[in-house]
Amino acid sequence: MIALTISDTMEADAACLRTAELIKRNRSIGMPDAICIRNDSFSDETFASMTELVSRLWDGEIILESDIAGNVSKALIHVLDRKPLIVGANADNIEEFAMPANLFDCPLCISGERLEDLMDLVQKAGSLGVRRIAIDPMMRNMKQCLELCTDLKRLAETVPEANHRIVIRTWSGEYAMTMATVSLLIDDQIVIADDLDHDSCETLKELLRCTR
Amino acid sequence: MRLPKTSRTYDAEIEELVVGKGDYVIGGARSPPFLDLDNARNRRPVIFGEAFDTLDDYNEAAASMFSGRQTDIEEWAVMWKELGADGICLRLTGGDSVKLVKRIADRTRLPVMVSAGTDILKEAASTVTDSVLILNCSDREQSLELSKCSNNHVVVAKCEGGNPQEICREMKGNGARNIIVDLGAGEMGPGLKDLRSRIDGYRMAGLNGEPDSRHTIMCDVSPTWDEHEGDVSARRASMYEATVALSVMMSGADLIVVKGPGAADMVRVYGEELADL
Repeated sequence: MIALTISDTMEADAACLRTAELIKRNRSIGMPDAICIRNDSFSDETFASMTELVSRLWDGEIILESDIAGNVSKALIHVLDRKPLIVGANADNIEEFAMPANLFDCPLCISGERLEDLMDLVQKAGSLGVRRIAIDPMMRNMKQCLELCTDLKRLAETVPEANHRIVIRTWSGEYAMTMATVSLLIDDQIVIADDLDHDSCETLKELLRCTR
Repeated sequence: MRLPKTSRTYDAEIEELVVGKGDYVIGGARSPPFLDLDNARNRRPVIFGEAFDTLDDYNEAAASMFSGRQTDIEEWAVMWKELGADGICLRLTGGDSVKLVKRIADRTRLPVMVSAGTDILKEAASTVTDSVLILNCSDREQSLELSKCSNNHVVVAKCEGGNPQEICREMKGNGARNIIVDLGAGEMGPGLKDLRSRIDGYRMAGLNGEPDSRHTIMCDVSPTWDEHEGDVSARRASMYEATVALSVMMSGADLIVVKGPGAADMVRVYGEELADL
């Protein structure tokens, strides 16, 4: 799955235009599969209103990304039926993020740099009642993508905590596309990019069509 | 949580091929591609840029990327060197082809791969003695024929969907000493999944020490340009080419033939990063 990002710091008009452009791209080439709404403003109201705005226009999958669990809870109200993936949980806030994920039965993405710690967090999230989990080993380049995705794929054979979909958070431009390519060639991951242009989306979609 | 070790070891290594004037080595892998987890050798795949002795039917968008130097095959080869290619893939139709091969090998000092008719390849194999060429055969028949007279040059085992171990065995029986396996062209099409699976399967068979499986693998991704309509931009065509190249590299290809300089550049950067160079 490829998701592209809309920041909640965008003006409403610009956000509408951006969403319309992503809808058009999704209809013409089938990508992006999801929109990630990111809480760059750190404001709960701004995040909630941007979530409401985007969700009125976009009927595909939604990802909510924030560092603050309370902001996610407020935004979730507008997209409860869409069961969005929540991104933002880590060692410092896992209990807070587990609450809305658990309450609204949404998948929760848990981030951690060391695999041992990440597996501990997955275990903890499970004990807090989170049923659907995605893991983000915080890969920052394509070499890390290859190594960590392979490591996790092998671990998943014996460690149940590793047997979850992997999230790759990347930026924009050609390097983001390369990160996405490497990730998707290894397995069916969730790639969240800041942005990818039309040609990159089209190339990735074609690659998926030819290799799946 | 204490996690089990996931690194793996393998029984055998992929063989190394020394090409060109002796200063380029291809292959030698001891793990799945680029995987430090399994103690990968820090070596990236080599990239060969193609050059033709005639521009009939040559893609116009690709031609626009060579600043006019594509009209002279020697200049074209030199340009590939300037662009950072590891070797030149010459597509020849006739005339003074063998002299041309020698001139380009001497002038660029890069490894040279030659695609041509059987007579030209045979003559090149017997005439060129100061550089190890890669004789790029067009079909299985030519691979078997060239194996009889390849001297120290590398012969491409054109597998055409057949059993690679079987053709390598036959070629060795015919006298081939150095073989590189071609399991099919890389294209952004329905065949890509199967090609990746065959490259991966052959690579793993080699690492597991299966007979006739330890040869290096080449993949020509230049046909990605042929899938586009005439009006495609060079950028988009290069993205397709680079993406297909990356996908076959990650399956185990050791040598990639490309058409466009944009893709060559991207693929080299990808290879260097993945190989941790």
